[in-house]
Amino acid sequence: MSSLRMTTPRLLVLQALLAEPERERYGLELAGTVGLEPGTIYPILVAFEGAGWLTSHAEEVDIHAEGRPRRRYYRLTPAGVAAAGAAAARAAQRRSARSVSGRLAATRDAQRPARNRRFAW
Amino acid sequence: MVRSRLRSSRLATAATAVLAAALPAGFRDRQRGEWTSDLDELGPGARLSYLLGALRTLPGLRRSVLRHSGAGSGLPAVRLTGAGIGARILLYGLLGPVLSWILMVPVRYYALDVPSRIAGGTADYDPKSLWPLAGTPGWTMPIWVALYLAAWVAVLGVLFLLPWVVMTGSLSVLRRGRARRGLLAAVAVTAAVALVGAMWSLSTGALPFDLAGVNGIRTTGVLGLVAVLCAVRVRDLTRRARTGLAVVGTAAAGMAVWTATPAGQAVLWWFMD
Repeated sequence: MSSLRMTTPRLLVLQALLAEPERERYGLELAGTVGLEPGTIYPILVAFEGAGWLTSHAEEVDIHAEGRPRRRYYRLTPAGVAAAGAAAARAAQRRSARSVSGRLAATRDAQRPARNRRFAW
Repeated sequence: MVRSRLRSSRLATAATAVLAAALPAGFRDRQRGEWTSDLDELGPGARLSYLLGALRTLPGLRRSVLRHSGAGSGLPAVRLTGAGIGARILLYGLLGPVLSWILMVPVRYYALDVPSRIAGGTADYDPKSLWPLAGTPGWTMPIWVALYLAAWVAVLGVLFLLPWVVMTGSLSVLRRGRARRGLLAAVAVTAAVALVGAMWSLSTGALPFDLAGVNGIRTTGVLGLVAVLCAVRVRDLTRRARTGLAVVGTAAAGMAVWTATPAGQAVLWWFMD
């Protein structure tokens, strides 16, 4: 199980997957749920699958009866649920720390005498 | 125009084939299936923007597949075998010296009519002072000097050519993000040290120049034959790599055979004198 660098699109995909960990979804559906541009989700899914967080399989349907090509469905693995949960929690913690430090800076700025304040143009 | 053409699913399917060609062979069919399925669902209007998005993220997808594929990852194994890596090292390593030799030696010899220059005895025929090493803008000189030196590597024999091929080939394979990066880096460094050692030995006289004489080009011929053999026998090669190996190998073997003929020897002596 390898760790992955977390970018915003990766986090969005993880959050969508974690919302319903048992549900299988195909790439285009997931891209639509997350709001990613269609066609750009596969590097993320491949990275997750490569890290062992996702498992995938081609659906077994009669393509003539369905009238469409086969889809590939993705689902979080049990190890993936844990790793993805931890990654999402770490990201939330970072966001919260940033927001706290931002609030602290704003408070400090407000308490500083007016003559020492920096003006942003 | 393009948008309306992409309404035809056949053109969209062809576009996915072009995109998939940039992916590792073991992963192509799977990804093409995903794109085809998505395009089918999206319908004609959204196909162009979908394909542009796929094109934009193609390098990232390729990197992800190469980095994460293999045992235990869930992705199909696309990592190269040892033979596949060796064949690619040979291809990328041999390409420079062979192409440079063809351009800087026989092409210049005949294009600049060196035999007439030699017979006339008036015009300059020194390979170091003929076009493009002279008569070209100064800023282009590094290109010509690099080609000239690479052409020399092709005729200097096993002590120079082999480390050169291993070093440049390993670096090229590394740059393409293939597997076994640590091993490849170690091999490239070792080859670089061997090359510097050979150059130092030659410059100090510790290595007799005879070792790097006219017969040195036979090494290029032998490596060319190995390249052709690899093109025929190694399994995990793309069509492009296989064709490249066959072409470069045949050219290298042809160089060795041709320089054994009187006409070839005249050209070789002109270059080495």
